[in-house]
Amino acid sequence: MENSIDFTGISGLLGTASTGGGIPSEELLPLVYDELRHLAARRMTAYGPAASLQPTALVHEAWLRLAQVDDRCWNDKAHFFRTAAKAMRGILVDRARRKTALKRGDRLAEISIDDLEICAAEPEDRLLMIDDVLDRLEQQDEVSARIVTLKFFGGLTNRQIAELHDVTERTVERQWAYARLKLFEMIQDEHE
Amino acid sequence: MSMNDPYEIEEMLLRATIEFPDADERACFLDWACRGDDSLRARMVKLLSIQENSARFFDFKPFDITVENGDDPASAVNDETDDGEIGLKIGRYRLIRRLGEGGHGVVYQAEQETPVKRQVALKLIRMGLDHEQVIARFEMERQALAMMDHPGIARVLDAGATPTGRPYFVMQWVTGEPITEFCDKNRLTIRQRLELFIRVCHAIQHAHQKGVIHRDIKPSNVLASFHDGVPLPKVIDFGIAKATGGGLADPGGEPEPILGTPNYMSPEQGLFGGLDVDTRTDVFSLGVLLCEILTGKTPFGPAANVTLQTGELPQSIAKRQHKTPFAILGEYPPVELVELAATRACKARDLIRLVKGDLDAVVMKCLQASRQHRYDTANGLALDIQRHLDDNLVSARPARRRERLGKLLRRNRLAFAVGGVAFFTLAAGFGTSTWLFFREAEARREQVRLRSEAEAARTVETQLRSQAEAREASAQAAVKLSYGHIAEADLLLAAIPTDMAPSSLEAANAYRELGDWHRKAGRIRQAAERYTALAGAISSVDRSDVYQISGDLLPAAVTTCQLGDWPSHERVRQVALDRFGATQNPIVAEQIIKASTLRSADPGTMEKIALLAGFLESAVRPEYGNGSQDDGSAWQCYSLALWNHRRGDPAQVIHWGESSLRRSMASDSRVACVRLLLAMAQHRSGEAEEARKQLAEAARLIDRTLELSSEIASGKSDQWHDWMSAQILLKEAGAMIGPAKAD
Repeated sequence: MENSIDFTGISGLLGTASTGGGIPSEELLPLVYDELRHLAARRMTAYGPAASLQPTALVHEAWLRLAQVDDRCWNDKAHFFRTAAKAMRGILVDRARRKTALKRGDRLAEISIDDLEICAAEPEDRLLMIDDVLDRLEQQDEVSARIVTLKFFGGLTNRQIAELHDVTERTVERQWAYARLKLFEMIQDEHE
Repeated sequence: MSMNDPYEIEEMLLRATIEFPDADERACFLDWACRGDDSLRARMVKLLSIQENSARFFDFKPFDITVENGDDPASAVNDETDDGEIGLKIGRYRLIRRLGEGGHGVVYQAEQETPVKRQVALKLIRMGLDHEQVIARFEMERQALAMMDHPGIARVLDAGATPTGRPYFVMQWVTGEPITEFCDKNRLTIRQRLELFIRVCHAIQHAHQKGVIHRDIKPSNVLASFHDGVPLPKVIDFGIAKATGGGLADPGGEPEPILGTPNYMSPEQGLFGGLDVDTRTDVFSLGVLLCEILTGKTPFGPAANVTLQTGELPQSIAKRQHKTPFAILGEYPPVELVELAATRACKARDLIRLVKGDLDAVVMKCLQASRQHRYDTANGLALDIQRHLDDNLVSARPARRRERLGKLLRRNRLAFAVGGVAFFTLAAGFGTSTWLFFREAEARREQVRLRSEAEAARTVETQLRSQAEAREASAQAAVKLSYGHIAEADLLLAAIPTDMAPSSLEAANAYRELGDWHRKAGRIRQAAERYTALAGAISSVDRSDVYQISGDLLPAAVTTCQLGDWPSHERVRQVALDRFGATQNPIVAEQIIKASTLRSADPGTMEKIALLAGFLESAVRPEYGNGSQDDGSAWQCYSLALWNHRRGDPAQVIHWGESSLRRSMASDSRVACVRLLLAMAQHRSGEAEEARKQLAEAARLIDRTLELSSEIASGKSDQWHDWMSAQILLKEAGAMIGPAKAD
C-alpha cells in the first residue's frame, strides 16, 4: 500500500514491550524517525521530492500529539496503533476542515446531497462525512469502527491489522467491506 | 460477540449473498435466508445496492489531502471511478451510459427530458480545487460558444453545476469515431482523408471567427462518420479546454496535473502557463492531426497518454523532436508499411510518393515552433491542401513554385492582360482629376505617418495588441476573400496601417489579391496601398532568395511611382534593396533593379543598386548569336540598360538596350521600355533624330497596346506592371525629348 504508514520497526519493539510491561514514549521516538526517513525516501522516488513532505509532516504531527501526554507507556502494539490511528484521524479531520473552510467558508452541511454527489464529493468532504458518523457506528458496531480507524485513518495494511487482531487477512478485507457499507449507509441516511 | 448480534448476522448474510455472482441466484438465496423476515430482506437488498458506491466512496487516500497549495500529484487523480452514476439525474439530464474519461472529466451519454426529449453528451468535470473559477471562466466563454453554428462543430447546449458545485457541460450528441480510427477502418484514400481534413479546418476556422480557440484538438475530439456516403467530421469539446484549463490557464491558481498527451500541444501552450495562445495554436494541433491521419503516427511518436505536472510540460514539449511525415513513413518496417498503405487503399510506394513533397511541407509549416511561420489560420491550411489536391502550388513549398511558375503564368496570362487593359482605359479617363487625387493621397499619407509615429510612442503592450489585431483582421480578410466577399475583406485590410501589415504569407496573399482587385477597377491609389503592404508583409515572412518573392515587390514600386507618391516609393525601394541587396539569383537581381531604378536615387541607394548590377552583369549569359530567342536574358539586359540610364552612361544604355532587342522581341512592353531608354541615351549623345524615331516607335507600341486590347488578350502582352513602367518611362522621355509625334 503506497500511502500507508509503515510501523513495522516500531511494532518489533512493541512486541517485546508487550511482554515486559510497557515502553516509554521517548524510547519510541528515534524508531519513529527511522520509519519516517524510510517512508520519505520511498515516496521521493515515486513522486519526486515535493510529494514526500506530506506524509512526513503528517506522521510527525501525529507523533507530537501522542507524545504530548507525559510518561505515557504502551501496553502492547495494538494499544499503540489504536491510539496512533485515533491521533491520525484527528489530524486528518483537522486538515480536511481547514481545507473546506478555506474553500467555501464552512458551509458543507447546508448542501443537500444525493447519491451521485456523495461519491463525487471531494476527498476532504468525504473524509468529514465519514468522521461525522464514525462515532455513531462505534456505538452500534465496535469492530467495524475499529477497522475503519486503523485502516482508513491509521493507514495500516490488512496484514498489519490481521496480525494485530490475530485473524486472517481475508477476514480483515471482509470486515472492511462491511464497515464501508455501514458507514456509507449512515452517510446516505444523514444526507437524505 | 454472539451470533445474536444483528450486525454480525447482517455481515455474514451479506458475505454469503455476495458469493452468488448472478442477480437471480442472489434473490433466490435471500428469499430462503430471510424467509419470514421481510425487513431483513429489504435491508439486505438495500445494502447490496449501495455496495459499489460505498467502495467508491472510500476509494481515496486521506493522507493525500493537502491543504497548502497542492504539490501532491496523487490528490487530483486518484479518485473518480464513476460507474455507479448511471441512471442518476443531473439537472434536466439523466445519465444513460458512461462514454469515456478525458483529462477534464468523465463524459456520459445522457438524455434531456425537458423541454424536448433528446440525446446529449454530458461532461462532468473532474473536481478540481477551483471549480468556481471553472464555472466563471465557462460563463465568459459561453456567449462565444453559443454563437458557433457550423455543421462541423458539436454545439455546447448548456452548462451548470451540481449542488456540490461540480461543473458540467452539455453538448450536442454526436455519433462518430475518432477521425484517425474512422479513416483507417473505412480505408479512406489519402485524397479522401485530405478532403475530410479540409472540412475539419473549416469547422475550426468558423470557431476562430467567433473568437473561440479549441486548444485541445486531437483525434478523440474530432469525430467522423458517413452522411449519405460522404465522410463528415464533427469537432467536439470546443472551448471546454479553456474553461477548464485549471492551472494551465491560471498560473495564480493551484497547479493541476495535465492528463492526456502533450503531442498535440503547441510549444506556446507549455509556456507562460498557456496564457499567450492564439488561433495558431489550433493550427499547430491540426498539423499534428494531419500527420497522424496520413502516416498513422504523430510527428512526436506514438500518441501515448501520460500524466504530466504543469511544471514538466514546457520541458517535455521543448525536448520533443519532430519528424516529417515522409521520415515517419521511412521508419516503418516494410511489412507494416504495406499494411499502413493498405488501410489507405494504395501501395506502399504510392503512399510515400503521395506524402512526400507538398504534404510534408504543409505539415511542417503547421508545426513551426514560432507561430508567425505557421499558417495564420485554419483556412490558410485548408486552402493549401486544396491547392495540393488541385495540383496547384502550395504556399508551404516555394521551391516547388519555381518548377511550376511557367505553368502558372500561362494559366493566368489572360487575367494579367485583361487587368492591364482595364487600368489603362480608366487611367486615360482620369486626366486632370488624377493630380488632385495625388494631393489628397499626400495628406492622407501624412496622417498615417503621424498616426504611426504616435503609435510608436505608445507602450510596447499597445503595439503588441495592435499587431495582434492586425493579424486577426488580415486572417479574417483571408477568409472573407476565400468566400468571395472582396469588399468586406478590403475594409478589414484598409483599416490596418500599411507599415503594420502582418508578416505572413496569408496576409500577403490577401494584400496581393485586393491590390489586383483595386487595380483592375482603376483605383490605383488603393491598389498602391495594398501592394505596399504586400511588399512589407512578404519581405519579412519568407527569407528565401526566390523571384516569386521579389516579384511581389514590383507592383508596389511601379504603382507608387506611377502615382508620384515618392515617400512610399522610396520606402518600397529601400525594402527591396535591404531584402534582396545580396541576392545570388539573376532573376531576383533583374526585378530589384527594375523596381529601384524607375526614378533617380540618392548616392547611397545608387551604391546598393550598383552591387546588384555588378552581380547581374557577371551573371547574364552571352547572346546566342544564332537568332534564337532568349526572353529571360533579354529582360536582364533591359534592367541593366535602365540602371545605366539612371547612372547617366548613354553608351552602356545603348550597349545593353541593343543587346536586349537582339536577344528577343517577344514582349512588347520590354521592347517599348528599351526603345524609350535608347531614345533618351541617343538624345543625350546628341543623336536627336534617332532619339525621336525611337521615342515615336515606343509611343506607337504603347498606344497600340491601349487600342488593340485583343492583341494583349491573345497572350502577347507581358505583366501589367511592365506596361505601367513603360508609361512612366514614356512620360520621362517625353519631358526630356519633347512629346512623341507619330510619323
